[in-house]
Amino acid sequence: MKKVLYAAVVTFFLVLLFLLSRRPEKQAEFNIGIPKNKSSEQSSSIIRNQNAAETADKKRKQEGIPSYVYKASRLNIGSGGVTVLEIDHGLPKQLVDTPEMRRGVDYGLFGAITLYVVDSTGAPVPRATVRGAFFNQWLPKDKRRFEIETDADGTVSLENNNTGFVNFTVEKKAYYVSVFRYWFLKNGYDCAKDGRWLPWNPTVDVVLKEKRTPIPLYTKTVEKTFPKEGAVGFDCLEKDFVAPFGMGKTADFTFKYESVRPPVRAGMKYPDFSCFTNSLVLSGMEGGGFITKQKDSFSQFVADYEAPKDGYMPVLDYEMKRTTDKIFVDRKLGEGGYLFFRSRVRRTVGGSEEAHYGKIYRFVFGESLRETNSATLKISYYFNPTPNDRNLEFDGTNNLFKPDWKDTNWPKEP
Amino acid sequence: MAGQVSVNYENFRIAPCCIDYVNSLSGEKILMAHSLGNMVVSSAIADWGMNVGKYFMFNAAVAAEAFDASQWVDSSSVNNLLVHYQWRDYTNVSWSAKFHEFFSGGTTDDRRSLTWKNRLSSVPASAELYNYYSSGDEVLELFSDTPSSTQGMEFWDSLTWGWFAWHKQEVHKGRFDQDVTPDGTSWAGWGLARNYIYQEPAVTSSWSGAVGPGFMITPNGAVLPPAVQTESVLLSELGEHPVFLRSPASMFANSIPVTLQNELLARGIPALSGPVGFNNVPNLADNNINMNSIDRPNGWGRNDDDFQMRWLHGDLKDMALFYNFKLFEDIVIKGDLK
Repeated sequence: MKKVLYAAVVTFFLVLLFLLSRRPEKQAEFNIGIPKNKSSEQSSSIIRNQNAAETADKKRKQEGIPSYVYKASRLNIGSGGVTVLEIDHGLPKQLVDTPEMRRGVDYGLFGAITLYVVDSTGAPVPRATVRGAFFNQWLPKDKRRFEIETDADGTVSLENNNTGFVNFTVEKKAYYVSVFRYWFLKNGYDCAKDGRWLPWNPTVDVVLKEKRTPIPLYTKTVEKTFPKEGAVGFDCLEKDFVAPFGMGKTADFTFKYESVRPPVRAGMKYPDFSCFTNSLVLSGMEGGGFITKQKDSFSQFVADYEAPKDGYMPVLDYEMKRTTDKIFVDRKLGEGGYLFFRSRVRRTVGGSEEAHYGKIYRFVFGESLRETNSATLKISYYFNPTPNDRNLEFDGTNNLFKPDWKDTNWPKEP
Repeated sequence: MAGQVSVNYENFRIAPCCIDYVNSLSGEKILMAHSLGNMVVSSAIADWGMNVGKYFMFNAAVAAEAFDASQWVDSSSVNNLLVHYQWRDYTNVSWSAKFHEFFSGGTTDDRRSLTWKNRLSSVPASAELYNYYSSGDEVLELFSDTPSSTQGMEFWDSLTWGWFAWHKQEVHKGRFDQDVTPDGTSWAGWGLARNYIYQEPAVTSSWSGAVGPGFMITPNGAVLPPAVQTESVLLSELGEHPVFLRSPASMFANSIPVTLQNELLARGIPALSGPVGFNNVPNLADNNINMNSIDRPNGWGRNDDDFQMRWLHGDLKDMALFYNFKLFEDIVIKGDLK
């Protein structure tokens, strides 16, 4: 009986889904920077318009809706690994979803957003292509996707029925691609009214990073083990630990790893690392050090263009302290962070200071499972061989180690 | 997706079947599993002592708390996406996911085992375990609220059919009747025992007559509670008289056979952590590898309007080797497979 009921419900849903996806698009009105009287042309899958902002402003004025301009207040790497554009919307908090919010989640509400595309200096970027799709299971893709260029002021206006968010890519020749998600549904806030997601049509800054002066760099990913409880130097040019632990000659920085290795429980092969303490001290050599930064996760080029001139910390401490069910300390360079480093600092004959600069994108350490006196290290770095040149914008093709790009150990950026 | 919960349970049942074969193999054994296949392998290792040297998990559709209890979050904040939105203003004491805590003091009551927390925690200490997850996985992605059954599934685009499937599986436990969710179950979960349930500072228990903080519960079809409530229960009595769906009856006995415990976990106890295949699991340290961040020297074979260039749930096999070969090179290195 239960199976029959289940089959009936599934069949009902499939039929409903089919009918809804084929129904006339009353709730699928599309308005992407185009006046409403042109809507008949909007069913084509590619829509281009140069007057998005003007249209949006005109529409807002006609409808008496105030124009809000927002800077992205936060850029989080959200669900799906996509960078989420968040704004200080000022909406009232709402613990349990309102019926209108649920209607939006289940069937969709109209959402609108105006994007103001700027480069890393804040200058508007005209004729950048904004491409993506509104999230809405009730609309076929050609009714929810868009491809449009920004106008002379760098703006583009998007509006459509959706069940929560829009994903989009911004691209232009000589710029690094940016990818974002904007949530119309704002979980925890009263964000739905009169068939619309609120705030209605905010204008939000979106950064499209320009290519400046990409150059060849040394770049490499290294995965190695090294001994615990002693400082071990690492030579970026030799891609190895300094002798006697490797073939390196000049240390750019050192690692010192310590841990309290948990015992192996009866019947188990390895220690239980859910009850564990370890630490790693990353030290610069004399005059050198590190600066921790957050990646521009939305961009194909995630770092700043050049290393800062000063402000380097000589030592960074990373630490993990946890019991079986609670993490007390977890200080690490997460996936969202990266480091600039300064090394090989020396005085020239003329008395001026010389230094080399680099960046570390990935830096993961841990305890070796099999060897009780070893730690593991995985590090991806870029190194500029020209003294005092702080430019770290890699051109993506000319690795000075001259690798075979098919080799897994060579990172490629962007 | 509708059958995912049942499949989850079936994985527990299938697990013993492969033990004899794997244990009879000689040499170092390397096992790889994808998605819910990881439930089979993990259960075989944790419950049946299957002996493997290395175990590679890909896009594992298993709650992270099963491997690392620190990932279990019992906050009722809106940011806890594993809590059904209708339960956000209920004390977490009343959740089926915390039902086991009423019995954690005893050593004989099987109800203390009705949690995903630490269910498979012996696996990382039994094999060299690698978690190949993808922060771009659409099947294991969490929606920013409680998803509906059809959320994201565009009829004409098969690429979207699995979107948020794992999230739906967990938050629709117990919601089959209440939301008419075809992907839901009728066991415990986030289902409510009655239509109307109100928490009050003090109620008189219908069960003990004691007075204290608790719930007033009215039956289906009640017009205006609490005037017509038919049951009051103290918070301290929720172990015996919960406000979540009181089904199946076998869940409310102190002796529960292991197979039924597994079925209860799969069908009636929601996870309170994200899936392993979508996250870095802290106790695996540098054995977590985010496939979405693996270098792609040849670009990517898909730039979709919905998913852009994300490493999706099936891209291990769906994407051409030309694009994802670095994953396989990494597996060869970590597995000593040269």
